[in-house]
Amino acid sequence: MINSQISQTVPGIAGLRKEERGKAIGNVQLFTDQDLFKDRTDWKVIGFTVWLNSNGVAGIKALYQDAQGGDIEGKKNVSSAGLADYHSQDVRFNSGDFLKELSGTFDKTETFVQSLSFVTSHGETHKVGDTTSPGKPFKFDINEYEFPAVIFGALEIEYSNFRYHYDPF
Amino acid sequence: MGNLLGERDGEKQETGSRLTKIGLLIKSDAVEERIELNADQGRSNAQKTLTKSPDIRLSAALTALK
Repeated sequence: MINSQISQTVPGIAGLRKEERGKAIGNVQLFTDQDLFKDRTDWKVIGFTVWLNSNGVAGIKALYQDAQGGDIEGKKNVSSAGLADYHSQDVRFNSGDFLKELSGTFDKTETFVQSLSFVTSHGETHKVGDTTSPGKPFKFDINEYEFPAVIFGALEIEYSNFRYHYDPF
Repeated sequence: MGNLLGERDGEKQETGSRLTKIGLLIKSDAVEERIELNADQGRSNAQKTLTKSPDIRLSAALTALK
């Protein structure tokens, strides 16, 4: 009785620690996957889809897996208007492996994410984006007992002024 | 009337997106390990109580005889 009461795991995101890198100012859209897990107790990040252009990361989607082995698809955080110009890169970790560390670089203005680097619990590293241009590196502080459980962030939405001309004669 | 040149500015059209911030909600296994440890301690204490209490010993013996 004592054991069953004490070891009961609290569902949802209660007790999770929050860390973030970067800024959310201007024309930004905030995103989070946390509402996908309000009734779940155990899950891991097992992969990503990252949309890229010549400047770096244009969008991101995480893939999660619950304790029963069921995939949970994260939200697609990318502008649909730009999709035709982006190329996507799928990163799926090996069976039983999950995200352990996340790092990357910002561009020289320190505004946009230029590259991302995923390190798994088995020590595999997957890099996406512009890893050659000089940038400002960032890394999440995750200790040996911790692992990333949910992603969130912000996208700056790019616009162009719509102009039209007509000459009726 | 000459040529009319119409122009409408200020209407914005979305063209794309760029990631400016990335965040993580981080889970710790250490909490669960600590809870398990507490649970083990609780179980151990319960066993000690069981051993010390004659009433519980009698109850256990009666149950075994059934």
